[in-house]
Amino acid sequence: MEKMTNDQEESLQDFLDGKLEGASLQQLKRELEGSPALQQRLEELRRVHTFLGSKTLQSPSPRFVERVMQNLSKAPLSYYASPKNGLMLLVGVMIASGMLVMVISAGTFDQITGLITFDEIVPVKKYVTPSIPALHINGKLLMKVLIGINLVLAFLVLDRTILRPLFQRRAGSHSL
Amino acid sequence: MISLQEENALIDQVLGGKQEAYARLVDQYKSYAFTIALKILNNRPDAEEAAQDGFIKAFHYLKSFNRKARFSTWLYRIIFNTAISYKRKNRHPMESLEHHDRGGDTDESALESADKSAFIAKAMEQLNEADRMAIQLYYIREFSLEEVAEMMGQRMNTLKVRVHRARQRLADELTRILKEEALTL
Repeated sequence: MEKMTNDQEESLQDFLDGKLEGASLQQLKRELEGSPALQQRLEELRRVHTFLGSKTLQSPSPRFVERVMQNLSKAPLSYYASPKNGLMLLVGVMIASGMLVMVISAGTFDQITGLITFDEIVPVKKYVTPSIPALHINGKLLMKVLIGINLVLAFLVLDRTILRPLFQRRAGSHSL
Repeated sequence: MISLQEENALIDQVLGGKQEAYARLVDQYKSYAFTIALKILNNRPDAEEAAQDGFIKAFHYLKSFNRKARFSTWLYRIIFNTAISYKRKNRHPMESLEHHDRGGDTDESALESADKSAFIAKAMEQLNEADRMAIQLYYIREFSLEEVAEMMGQRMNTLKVRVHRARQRLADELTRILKEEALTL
């Protein structure tokens, strides 16, 4: 069986889509007359066209519009990250918090306290008058603040990715 | 079918706070939206949920619709992206779309149609996901290559190649499958 060229394949597809006209159409017709292989290929492609083209639009359930209108005030479900990703993020945040707690318990930050002065920095000294007051740093307190931020973050992740989608889905399934 | 003017008037009403005007837009495009979602998810309950979610999203983002394109094109892109994100989230075994097309009829034409659906579904399995989506969306009634390209966020030429390649592959696969069927008869 003779091999189809890409141009011939394209012409056949354009022909089936009704996009071929004028000289190109006439040329394809001539080629078809002289080539049983091309005719066979046209039939094969036509079969795809017929099989797929016969599919009609599908209708959703009768209460589709009503349900959309009922839920307009809610945030879209896909707005939230997937529960799986949320759970992984939550585990990550909890591990980070746990590590911070362990490090604090081990007393690593007990000694990290002191004053940070800005007067020694030359540009600050040159351009800023009066001088910037020294900053008191407490390593342990800083880590506690970080743990607090992590816990807030964990709560937000739990709420946005697991609890809210879960309750929205439940509410949705009850309204079906 | 509503005209472009009517559509713009409805959008203005929704943006002006008249929420119930949105119901007409939903009613107008629900079948297309649902069919797009169904082509991607192959599962009616998921497709229904994704289409609903897409409409809700479109309502929330309606202010950002700049009216350069048709509302339908903009909406279908949202539905497409929503369905894709559902597909990524819910990776459970897919219910065959063809199952729904068969219905309960047992007459000859229904059986023939069921056979056709089964053959095409089998051939479709041989395509990669992007090509499969491209050709399925292209064959949803009235969609042009431009519209499908816009919906999938792809260049027109890329989409054309996808549809072309998918049809070639499907033609080859269908020929092979039908030959095998003929041999088993």
